[in-house]
Amino acid sequence: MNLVADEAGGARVVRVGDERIDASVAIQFKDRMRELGSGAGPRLILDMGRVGFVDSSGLGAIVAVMKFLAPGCRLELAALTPTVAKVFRMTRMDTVFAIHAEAPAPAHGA
Amino acid sequence: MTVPNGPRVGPMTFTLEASAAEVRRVLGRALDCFGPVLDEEGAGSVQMALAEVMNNIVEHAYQDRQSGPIRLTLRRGEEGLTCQIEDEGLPMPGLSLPPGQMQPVAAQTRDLAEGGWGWALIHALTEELSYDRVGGTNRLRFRVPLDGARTG
Repeated sequence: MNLVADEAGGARVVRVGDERIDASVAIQFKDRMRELGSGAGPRLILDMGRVGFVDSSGLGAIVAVMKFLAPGCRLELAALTPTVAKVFRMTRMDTVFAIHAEAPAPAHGA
Repeated sequence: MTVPNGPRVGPMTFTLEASAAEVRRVLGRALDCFGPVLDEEGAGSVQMALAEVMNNIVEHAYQDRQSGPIRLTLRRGEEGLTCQIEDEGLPMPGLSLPPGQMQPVAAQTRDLAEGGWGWALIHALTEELSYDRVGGTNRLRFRVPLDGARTG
């Protein structure tokens, strides 16, 4: 999976480069998020702006990430596309996550 | 020439060997074929419903063997996309459709479920959902309503 972490807006931000988080990548997603989440501060924002589709396995993987990051780090979501927002709404998982309209912009320069 | 209530396409049949990667591939092919006659919300609903059904087949119907065939037949009609999904795996428990209630959300983060939404999503996204066991074949049929006939 294409997942890239940086620090922006006072949080660790993981940008998902894949178009789908589904059953075929759910385990890989969890494993990579465990690596990218280690040493994060109190907030980790998952930038979902490129993700067009999440199935229930992908949703379960996102919930699993929230659970293993807690209580030291809170998983938040940003930039949900319409179909992804719908699956969160239908399963009421939109009540569990802080969901931002946009992810913080990447930091520039070094 | 235009047809009242939108175009009709199909039927088209897709066959695959049950696996998560094959489900992803066939969903992409189905959307390539039917995307032009679906709006964005409709395409999302179709993809969600079909993904949950086929993932269930991979996980449950073929749990006792490596894999097996799935046949997906789609037809765009006036009221929506009519779908039939067949597999040769284990029958549904009790030879009936699983219930479609969405599970409650746990109050504590550590108690949150990491699955169990599939059938509730399928029920909510579809109409005229039916299941038959015909010989050694599971046959699931439903229609995904389109053109704003129903919203999720």
